[in-house]
This record gives sequence, structure tokens and C-alpha cells, in this order.
Amino acid sequence: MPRQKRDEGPEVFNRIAVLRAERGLSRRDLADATGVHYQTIGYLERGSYNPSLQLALSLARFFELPVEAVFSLDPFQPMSNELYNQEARP
Amino acid sequence: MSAARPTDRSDDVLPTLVPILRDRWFEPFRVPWRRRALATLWALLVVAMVVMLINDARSIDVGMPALLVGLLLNLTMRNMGDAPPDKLDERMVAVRNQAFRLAYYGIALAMVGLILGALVFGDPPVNVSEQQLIGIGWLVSLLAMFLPAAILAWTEEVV
Repeated sequence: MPRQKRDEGPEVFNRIAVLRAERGLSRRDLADATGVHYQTIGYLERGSYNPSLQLALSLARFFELPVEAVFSLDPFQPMSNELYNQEARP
Repeated sequence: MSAARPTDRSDDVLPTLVPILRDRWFEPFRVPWRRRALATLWALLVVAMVVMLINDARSIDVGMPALLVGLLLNLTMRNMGDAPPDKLDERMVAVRNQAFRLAYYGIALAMVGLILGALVFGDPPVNVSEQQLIGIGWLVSLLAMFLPAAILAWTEEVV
């Protein structure tokens, strides 16, 4: 059963930490770009806070990815696994 | 084109954070255990005030230090309890709303306790002196002003 959050909603998984690291950004950089406090980025990365739809869309737009590539209701596979499986497909 | 692409909503509608959320003042106090120590000290002063109220002593003597500790506590919590909602980000608003909810229950319980105390232990029942009336005013003000900050100090590791 998914862990319940502070707001009693189901857990939402995200790739913010990976995407941020890929782009060499600090939490403060990402926070400034999306209009939240940098500690909120930390809460999001740790899965301690589920973002609003507006914030989720803002983050997805910042990373220039569809929102489902950044957030998911199911745990993400490691990106290397997904990439390898994609390349291995005929 | 993916249907899940972000909308065209502009970034400028996102909240602009107040400078106090980025300030470096009182940083030494913004360590969780120090915040909790301040919140505990404030709570002890409030309890002492209630005891003095019941005994018809000059509770304002404790109310003044409680006010000063509460002001410091508020500063160490970056005035999160006081900042307008549009100046906080969505997580902070959610955290603060939770603290307000708990504070509301706390104040309601304190009021019920005070009324019951006056009814049961008052001599004659519901006999409140002028000194006690002033003390009750101080107590309610202290709770309303600083209880959310005290709850935040206990429940939030980082602000």
C-alpha cells in the first residue's frame, strides 16, 4: 500500500532529483525557476510533499518534458534500465 | 503532440517569496533543537501564566517574558505564521494551515479549560477578578499570536 503523505493523498513519485542532477542545477536554481522555496524542492525530491497540479506542470515545463516523464503514481525504473530496454528493442 | 504537456500559464502567477524567507538574521536560532527549546520555553511560560491566573497572582509578570520569547520564536520561524498566504509557496501554506488548525483546537481547549476552571474552582463560581480578566486577555493574545509558530517549531525540521 502506498505510503500516505501529510495531506493524506497517495504517494506521487518523481524524477526531479535525477533531472536536476543531469542538468547540473542546484535546488535553489530550480526553486527560483519555478517560484518556490528551495526547501520545497528538497521536500519534493524526498517524496515528502506532493505538488499541486500547477507546480507539477511548471516543473515539467522547466525540464521540457511531458508531465508523466517527471511524475508518476508508480515508482520509476532507473533511467539506465529504461534507456537500455528501449535500445534493446527491435 | 502530447496531451500532458504543460499549459501556457505564465510563471509570473507563481508566488513571489517575501525577503524574510531568504534572510540570514537569527540564523543561529534556526536550528531545529533551538527552535524547539524556544517553543518549549514559551509553552512553559504560558503554563506558568495559567497557574498564576488560577491563583489570582499577577500573571502579566510572566506574560511579558512570554511575549518576548514568542516574538523571537516568530522571527526564528521566518514569520511563517504571519506572512500573507500569497507570499508563501504552496507547501508552506499547507504546513501553516495545518499549524493553524492545531492552534485553533489548542485555543478552543484552553478556553474551555479556563471556563470550566472558573466554574468549578471559582469562589463563588465564575468570580473573575480584574487582574484575572487582564491575564485572560494576555493569555488569549499570546496563544493566538504565537501558538502556530510554536507548533511549526515542533513539527517542521526546516523552514
